[in-house]
Amino acid sequence: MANIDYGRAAGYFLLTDFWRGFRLGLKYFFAPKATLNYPHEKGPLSPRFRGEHALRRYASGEERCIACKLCEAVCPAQAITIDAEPREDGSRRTTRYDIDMTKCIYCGFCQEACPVDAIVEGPNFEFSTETREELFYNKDKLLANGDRWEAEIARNLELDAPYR
Amino acid sequence: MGLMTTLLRSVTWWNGQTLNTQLYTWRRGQKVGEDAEGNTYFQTRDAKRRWVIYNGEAEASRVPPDWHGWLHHTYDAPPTKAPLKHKAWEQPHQENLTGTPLSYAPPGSIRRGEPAAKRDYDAWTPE
Repeated sequence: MANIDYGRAAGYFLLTDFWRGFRLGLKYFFAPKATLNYPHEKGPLSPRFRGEHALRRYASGEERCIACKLCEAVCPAQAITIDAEPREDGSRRTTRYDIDMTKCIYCGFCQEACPVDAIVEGPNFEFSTETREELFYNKDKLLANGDRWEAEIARNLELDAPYR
Repeated sequence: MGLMTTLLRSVTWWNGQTLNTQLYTWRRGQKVGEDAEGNTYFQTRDAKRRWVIYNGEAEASRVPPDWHGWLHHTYDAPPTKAPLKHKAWEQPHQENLTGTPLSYAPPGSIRRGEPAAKRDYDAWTPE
């Protein structure tokens, strides 16, 4: 006569493993869900969130970037290309400011390096495109981003200022 | 709401809102405000969840910067209570135009009428 574990046999007979699995399934069926109803509902973002780039302007409307090329130098992905020459009024400005968004790794070094807060990574992350070339941003596109998002960029910088 | 809209909403999710979203808004939604495009913003009574019902296509990039931060829980005061400071040179918000004829094209793109000439190198021509 072999040794039979009657407790374990009864467990098998009454499908205990099945019921335990079923209980776990039902528990998560009725538990509050962590999913978000995107695009209606969106996830939390920090004021420091590093999204789509933008070139900012001074309150007067003058562009901030002075073509110091610190962002170009610090960029670990070498995504930024800058050409510069003096403008008619003698001030030093960029004639070309390109960011290859397909190279960018969104590290935020460019906005940390910028001495005049010109290049920033804004709060927008919904800029996906259907073609690759649409991600080769030039200066006009970056300035337009700044003009469209300035209100929130300014608010986010203000919210983050006490921690810097 | 017409019959056509009801039919479209029952089989698609991008025409304003789905039936389930609408029912949830009726049950739990407390209106917070509305933006210039007509999108309406809601939150639950305990202000834990915030959401937007789009006026037209449910396209996530249609949320303007004023409401963007509130919707993303970056700050708690909606722009109706604490308006953001706007500058005179700001441009109106624009949704993501990719896939439309108005989408951004860099200067060298062949989608432009006159693509910018390539400057960095001389093209190779066979002898």
